[in-house]
Amino acid sequence: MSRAGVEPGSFRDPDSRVLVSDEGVFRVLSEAGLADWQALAESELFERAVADGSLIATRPANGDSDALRGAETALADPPAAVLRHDRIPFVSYPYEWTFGMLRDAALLELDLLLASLDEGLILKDATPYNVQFDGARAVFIDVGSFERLREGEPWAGYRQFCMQALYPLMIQAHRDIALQPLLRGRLEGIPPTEAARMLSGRHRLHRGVLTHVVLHARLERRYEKSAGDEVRGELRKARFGTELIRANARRLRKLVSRLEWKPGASAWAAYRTTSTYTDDDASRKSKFVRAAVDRVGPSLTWDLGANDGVHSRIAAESGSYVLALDSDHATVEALYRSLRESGEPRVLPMVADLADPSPGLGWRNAERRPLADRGRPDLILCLALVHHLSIAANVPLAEVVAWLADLGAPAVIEFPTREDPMVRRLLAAKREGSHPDYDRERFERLLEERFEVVRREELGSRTRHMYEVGPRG
Amino acid sequence: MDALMAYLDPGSGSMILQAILGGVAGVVVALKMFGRRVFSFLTFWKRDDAAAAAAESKTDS
Repeated sequence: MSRAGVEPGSFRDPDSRVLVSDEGVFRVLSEAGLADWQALAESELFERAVADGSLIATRPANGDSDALRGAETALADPPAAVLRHDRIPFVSYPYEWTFGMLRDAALLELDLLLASLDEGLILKDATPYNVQFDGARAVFIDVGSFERLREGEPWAGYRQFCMQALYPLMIQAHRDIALQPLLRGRLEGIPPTEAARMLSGRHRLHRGVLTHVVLHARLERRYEKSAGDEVRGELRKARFGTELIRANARRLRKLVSRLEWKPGASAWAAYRTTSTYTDDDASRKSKFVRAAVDRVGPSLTWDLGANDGVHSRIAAESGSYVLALDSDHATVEALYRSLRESGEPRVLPMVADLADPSPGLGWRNAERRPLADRGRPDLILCLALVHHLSIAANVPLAEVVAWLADLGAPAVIEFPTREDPMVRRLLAAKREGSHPDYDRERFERLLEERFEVVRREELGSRTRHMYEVGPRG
Repeated sequence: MDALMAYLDPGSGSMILQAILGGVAGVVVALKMFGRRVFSFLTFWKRDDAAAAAAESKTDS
């Protein structure tokens, strides 16, 4: 039995820390954290939010479990209590989400903030990292974020909400600047002064920019040297009340829900309709994938280059949980919306450039983990991707095959030949005669070195080849 | 009370903005706050003038 390890992303809150082991996900609480948890557990909000799935199911843990030995040293003081959480199938981060996903996460936080105010509670912070996605459904996971309300104090999470949710959403919506690199570049988010520079000129005319961004930046500069406790004291004297927090949260909610991002002409969003596939090729490809899914019976499938998610859905139909990864934001956004509409519960869409995947970030590069450290696939779908990695991203073909083999799972791989129209388009952008390694015979040789080839099929158009492979040994 | 203070720095400017954004009630809070600020700002100047005058008279003597 493994000892529970402290989750490196949870150290910032001194009253609550997360431990993860094979047995489950646990939360260690300090005395103050325990009192806050008891207040939450008795609230109607808790029962309601757990029942509708917007809050992670949580209960007191069995204190003498072996997995809890790590709990003793998890906090500065001996723990007052340990809770057990339901597990989220796969962890994702805001810099891997689409605009719509970040917006829904932000709205969930505001809804929980408003609901908690009604019951004498408040959220002590407002980071979107407190939200995870179970499929395409946002779930609030940081039960330790609820605390008892202290009358007369403003919401401590407001600034963080602006920096990590509101500003990235505004900048994507109003300026069409991708939010993922901004959030990946700085875990704390975008400070008000920088957001004000990015939303300058006519962009200030958009709703909420003058107040939440421009005025916010000015006040921050103006009161830079003011001590927080003095300001808090003055606000209390001036009778700052919970009603103000409620009114602000309501207005923020309205503002966020009205933000819309209209993606520009994306090369991929129209892919399915303009792609070079014939209907026959597409249906044979789906059949090939289905057979592999049935044979392997995966519980976690990675669909690399998922596009509109047609193959992700095939894997999900068989009961697998699926990561649908694609580098194009607009494509993943379209997928997220369609998953929400169809109510598909097992596909998690993520914006991920596989030639530049999420690294370890934050303190000791361990607060936010690289993709492959968060769980390994039982089945890999790698369709219409090899040519993009090999030609567009200049990854040698041997490297692409080695990477797939290192993931350690059976895979379905598609290889389009040099005669394929899409490959010709990619090669046309390069110097004549470049990428001589991109060749089917060579690819098959590499494949056979690292995998057992279970099955192969040439699609009707004769420029696309499908392979089902299993790890060697 | 401050021993229970939030682990997150809410930011002084961000706290004041919340009062301003709070609409009618918020304006009252903000006015009270700014009133106090303006008042302390003026008294600060007065004190400063006095200190400067004191310094000047010292160099004169």
